Amino acid sequence: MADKREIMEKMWRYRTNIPVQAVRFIVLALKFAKLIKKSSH
Amino acid sequence: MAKVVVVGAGFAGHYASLVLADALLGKGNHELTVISRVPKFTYIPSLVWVGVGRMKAEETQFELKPVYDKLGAKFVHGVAKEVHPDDQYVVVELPNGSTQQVNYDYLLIATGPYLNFEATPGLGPDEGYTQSICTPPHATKAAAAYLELVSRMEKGDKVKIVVGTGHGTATCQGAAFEYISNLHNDLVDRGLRDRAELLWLSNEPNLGDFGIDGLEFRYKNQIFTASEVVEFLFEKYGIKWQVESHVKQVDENRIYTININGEENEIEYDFAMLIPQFKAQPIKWFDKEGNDITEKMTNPAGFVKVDAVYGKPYDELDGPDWPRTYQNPIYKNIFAAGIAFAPPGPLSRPRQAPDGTPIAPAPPRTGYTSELSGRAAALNIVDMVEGREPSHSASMAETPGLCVASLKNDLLTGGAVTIAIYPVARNRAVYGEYGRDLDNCLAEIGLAGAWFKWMLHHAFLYKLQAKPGWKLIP
Repeated sequence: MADKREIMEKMWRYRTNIPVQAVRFIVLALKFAKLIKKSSH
Repeated sequence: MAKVVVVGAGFAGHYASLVLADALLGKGNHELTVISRVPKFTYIPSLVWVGVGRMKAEETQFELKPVYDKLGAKFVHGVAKEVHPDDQYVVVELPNGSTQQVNYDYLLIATGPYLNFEATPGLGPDEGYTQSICTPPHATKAAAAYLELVSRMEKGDKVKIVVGTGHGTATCQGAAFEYISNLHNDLVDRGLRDRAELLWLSNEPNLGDFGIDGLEFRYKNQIFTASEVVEFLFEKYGIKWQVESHVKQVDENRIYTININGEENEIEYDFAMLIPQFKAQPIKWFDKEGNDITEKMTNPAGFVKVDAVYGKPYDELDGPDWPRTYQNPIYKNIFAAGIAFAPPGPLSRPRQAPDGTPIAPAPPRTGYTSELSGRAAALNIVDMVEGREPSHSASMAETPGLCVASLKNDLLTGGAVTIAIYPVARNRAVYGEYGRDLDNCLAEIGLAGAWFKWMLHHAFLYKLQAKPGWKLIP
């Protein structure tokens, strides 16, 4: 559990760090694109 | 030539209409008519910003008629009151009180919810004491009440704000979660946060349930839950919580609750925004003899039955029981999508207080899920018009849920929780223990989500006005 807390604290620390968030934006966009593709029946 | 009628112009109905217009109009003299009780489309996810006074309601809306005129579809501004499926027509009450009969060959019901404030005495901004952000007028009224509260706080008053669900079977916890987070950040920006106590009041079994039975995701070889993420966030924000609760009544000063153990509580408040129970829009169904067949066509809440497996107990309900084509089993030319279709059961485990009061979030069918069901139903109607069997599916047990929950709307200092689940409804037949593919689930806090939320607001309002290239936007 301590590990999880540490990970979430790290996410919190970088929540408004623009370079980190720019990378996360790309990663999340790719994730969303993959899931949207899965929903195209 | 086929006459297709869509009742409702929200996420499911309006998007389905765009798909139908694109596929049918201009080919074979087909006709498309859209019936809507409101003349404007509202991008509901942005109403949370309207409710804190950071956006005008008009910025979330556009007029529907010019869009349908452009597409060659007919638009009827009115309320669908009756459907006669044997004779294939809908009775619409127009704003001037007269009625109009609209004939169809294929019908899609996508009316969205009826906000059932009456289920909780004292709830709601019209007849009660609490605020709502469910419609543009409600969100505007909530903003005015909130800004009045802010001026009291500026004079030194300490206040208590309660946000969450106003009924044991309410849904849309996500919208309330966004609202309490935006209120927190707005108060921080105003330097007033220390003068407000914020309480999350909800029917969820635990934080982060959101009516979807929560979510788990794998990150750095560990399984995280939405409950852990929301608890972490509420601790950071100093938001207290009371879950597993049904609101029995609200008066000017207090909210009266009962929890899953039967314990009653009275919460004093200065400002409250509580989401009501959702029911279906009241539409009556009649057969050719004039008999009321509403009970045959809908579930007890009035949502239209489709190709789901109904009647199974919660523990037996699984992925294959969720609807795929959204086709009514009795009248094959009728479909229902978005909030209007009857789900086979809840996503979160149904529970009740010792006195029998149900305390269980209803399953959300909003946003992306709503759009997917609308698209599938529309494409299945196109299949039938062109002489094929319905071939398109968008089961909630096979499609993802994508949600960006705003914490603050600012491109430099804002934030959001970006949430993805796959699939929305747990599908243990395919994904074993968790019923979901944990590698395709996530919940992440950060500014990137605020960028997403801003982008989605503009992209959806562009796409749904059928502006050039709209079909390229997913």
